[in-house]
Amino acid sequence: METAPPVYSNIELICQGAEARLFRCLYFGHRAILKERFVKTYRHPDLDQTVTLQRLKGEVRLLTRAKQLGIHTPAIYHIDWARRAIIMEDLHEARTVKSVIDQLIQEQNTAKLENLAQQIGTIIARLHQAQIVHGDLTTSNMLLKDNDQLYLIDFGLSAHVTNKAQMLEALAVDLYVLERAIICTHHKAKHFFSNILLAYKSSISDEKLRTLTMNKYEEVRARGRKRSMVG
Amino acid sequence: MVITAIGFEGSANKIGIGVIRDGQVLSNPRRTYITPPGEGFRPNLTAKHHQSAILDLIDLALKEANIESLADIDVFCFTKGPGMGGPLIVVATVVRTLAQLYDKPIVGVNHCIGHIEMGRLITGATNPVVLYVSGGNTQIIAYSEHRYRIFGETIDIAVGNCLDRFARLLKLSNDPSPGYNIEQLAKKGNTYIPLPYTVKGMDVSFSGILSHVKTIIVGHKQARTQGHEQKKIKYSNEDLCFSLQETLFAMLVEITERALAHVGSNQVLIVGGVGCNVRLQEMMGVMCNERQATVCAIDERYCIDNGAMIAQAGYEMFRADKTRKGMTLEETSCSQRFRTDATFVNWREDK
Repeated sequence: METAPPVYSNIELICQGAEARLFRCLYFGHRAILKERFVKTYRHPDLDQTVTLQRLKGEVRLLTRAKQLGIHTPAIYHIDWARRAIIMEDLHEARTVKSVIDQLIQEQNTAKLENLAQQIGTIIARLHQAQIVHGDLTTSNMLLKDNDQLYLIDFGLSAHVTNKAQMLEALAVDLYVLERAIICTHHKAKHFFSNILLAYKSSISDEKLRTLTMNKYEEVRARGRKRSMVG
Repeated sequence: MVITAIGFEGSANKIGIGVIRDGQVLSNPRRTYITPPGEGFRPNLTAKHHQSAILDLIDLALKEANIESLADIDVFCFTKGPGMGGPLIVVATVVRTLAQLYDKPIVGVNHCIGHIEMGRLITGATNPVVLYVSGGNTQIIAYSEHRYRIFGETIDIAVGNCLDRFARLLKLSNDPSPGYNIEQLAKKGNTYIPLPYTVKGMDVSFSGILSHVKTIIVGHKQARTQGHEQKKIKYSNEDLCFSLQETLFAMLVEITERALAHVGSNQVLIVGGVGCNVRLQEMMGVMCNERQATVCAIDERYCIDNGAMIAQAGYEMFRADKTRKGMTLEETSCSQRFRTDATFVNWREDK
């Protein structure tokens, strides 16, 4: 009789963030990513368990919701509650948008850069129109496959914001965070963010929402990510 | 050139005057306005308290520092903000008067930056991520490009304010401080009562915790007066204090960890009144250990608002000011709201 393959094998650590450890592994013999929210020993065990499971659920929920909107996100294979981990698709053949941009700049491939910016803008608009903020939009959290499919990853800080006033603020900050990230990592990519913004604007179908979000965004830009707390 | 700076701090319920000479604290006396249990400090009464204490305190600060007269001071530093309007103005008025009498330059200091610079001086931390936790402020700060930038903060009340108001609900003593008494009670608690835990990225929110605690306590009171069986959660003050601390501090440590990962630093500096809580320092230590980072904490003399910290920050600003003129009188106004990132940090040369 054939023995069943182990659930996880070949586990190897990719990186450790503030919140979770990321592993590459074989899940029942298939390539997968394991995102484990490790135990925070400084936190009371009951509290740690509640908070972690809440966030795990939230991340899975928003990943799925984004997928339903037609946005490419890694497929979820399994949720390991005991290990407090999400096991998901390993997009190993994809590259981070960060490295793609660097390469395109070197090749001076303006057409392709514009194309990419357009793609990013459209996807963010789609997410935002569904009242979802990603919470950590950087070019490292976007992956590009060889067939030019753009994937969004890491929904750990994402939220579904229903309150209208809070939503505008959240959307605007989401855009602003991306702008800052692009300025910091890709200062040579001129017009890249403005191209994203152009595509974003033309993809928001509700004119009122577009105007309100853009006004809010200008406001956030003027004062920085944080409220000014003056007055 | 040796610079002797005197610092005046009175933005909240403490009035402190400190003398610093080139990084050496010569004196740092302080008085606290303590209110009866169940009460907070009101701005007008606090201002009166500071008014009645400030002159004696100047004498004491000079005496302890072995300085004969204010004429031997090189620069007068005071808290420009943020803080309570009345108390800020009382102190600023005294400083303006004295500086003009002795014809000395004045430097208005951002209170938060006072804490940071004092923390750096005492601990020797070079470029830490700063957790600033007090009755009026909760911020996670890191230095970049000549500004102390706020990476995260409370979106409603400060952590110390949450502790203070919690203590008022339980009618705990305000002597020496509500936070200290909560800390002592918490040591005897061991049952964890779940409380709301709100972290949004690098921001935190505490007001929900306070409302939640209120419903727990008031719910019990009602049950007792109406002779009902206690339907809700069983609790003791000790357990409540314990749970409150565990929840609040876990949130603070979490955003600090996130900031550490974000800026790639391996030093944490805790400043502000809540920073002298040993449990907070302990939890921060555990987190830092896991990340091969270190915690720099300071004791109550310099954690809690004091005059020396204002003198130290003012000294740095004065030293960087090549004109040695300090601020014009018009610039010595106070501001209740004065953001940490509003000051251009020209005394640090690193990026």
